[in-house]
Amino acid sequence: MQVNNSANFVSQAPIALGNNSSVQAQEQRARVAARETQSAEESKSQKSQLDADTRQRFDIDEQAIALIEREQPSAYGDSNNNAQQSNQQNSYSSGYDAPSNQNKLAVAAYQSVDTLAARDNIEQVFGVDLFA
Amino acid sequence: MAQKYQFWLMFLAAFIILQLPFISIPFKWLESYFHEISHGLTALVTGGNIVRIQLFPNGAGLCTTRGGSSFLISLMGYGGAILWGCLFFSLASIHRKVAQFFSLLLVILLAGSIVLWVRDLLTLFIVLVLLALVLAQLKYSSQKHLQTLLKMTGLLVLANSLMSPLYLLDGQARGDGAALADITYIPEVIWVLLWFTAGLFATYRLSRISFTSRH
Repeated sequence: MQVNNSANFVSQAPIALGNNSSVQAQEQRARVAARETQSAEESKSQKSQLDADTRQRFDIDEQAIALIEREQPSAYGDSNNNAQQSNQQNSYSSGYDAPSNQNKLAVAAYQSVDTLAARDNIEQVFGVDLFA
Repeated sequence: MAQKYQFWLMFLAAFIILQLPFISIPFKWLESYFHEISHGLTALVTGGNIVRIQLFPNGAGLCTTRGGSSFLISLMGYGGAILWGCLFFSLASIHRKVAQFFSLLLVILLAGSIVLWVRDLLTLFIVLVLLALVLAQLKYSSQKHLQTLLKMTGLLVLANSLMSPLYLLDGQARGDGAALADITYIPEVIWVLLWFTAGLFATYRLSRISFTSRH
C-alpha cells in the first residue's frame, strides 16, 4: 500500500528494509498522523470561517451602532427643538397680553417710590427744563 | 508796584492749579456748582423752581428747573459763575468780617442745596466735599488767611468760568450756547464770545479793585 502523502516518505524507508510488522504499525501511525493533520486543517478552516462569520456579525453590529448613533443626535435635537417650540408656544400663548418692557420699567419706577411727596417730585420732572 | 502784580500772580497761580491733575478737581466741582446754582437761582428769581441739581466727577453738571425764563436761566450759567468769582474776590477784599460772613453764607447755601435740590449720592458726595472745604477754610485759617483763601477761591472760579465757555466750541450744538442760539437765533459762537469777554472784563475790574483797595 502506497501513501501518496508527502508526509509519509520517511515511513517508506523501513518498508524497503523488509520489516512487515513495523511497517503496519508505521502505516497506522501515518494514517493517524494524516487524519490528525486533516482534522487540524479542517478545524483551521472552520475557525477561519467562524472568524469571518463573527467579523460579519461585528460589521453588522458596527453599522447598526453607527446607524443608532446617527439617529440619536437627531432624535435628541428633535426633542430639544420640540421643547423649544413648546416653550415658545407657551410664551406666545402667555405673552400676548404681557406689558412691554418700557411699561414694566415705568411701573417699577413708580412702585419703587412709596411716599406721595416723592411721587409729586417725579410728576414734576415731566415737562422740566434741563440746563447743563 | 509788587502789590499791583500780586493780583496777576494769584491769577496765574489759579490757572496753574487748574491744570494740576488731582488738586484741580475740587475747584472744578466748585465752578460747576456755582454754574448750576446760578441756573437754579435765576429760575427761582424769574418765577420758576429748581427740581434737582446734579454734579459729576468730571466737572460736568445738570440743573433741572421748572418754569422761569429760559433765556435768562441759560444765560446765567456761565454768567453766574463769573459773578460768583467776582463776589468771592470783592467781598474778601473789603474786610475780614465780611469775608467771614460771606463764608457762613456759603456754608448755608451748600447745606441748603443738599437738603433741597440734591437727589443722588454722587452729587451729595461732591457737595459735601465742597462744604468741608469751606468749613475748613472758616475753621482752620486765621481771619487774614481766610481773606487770601477766599480771594484765591474766587480767582479759581473766575479762571475756570473764563475757560469753560470755550469748551462749547466743539461743533456740537449742545449746552447753554446752543440753547440760547435756539431761543434767540443768534449763533452759539456769539454767546461764547460774550461770556469770554465778560470773564476778561471781570478779571480786569478785579485787578483794578485789588490795586485800589491796597492804596
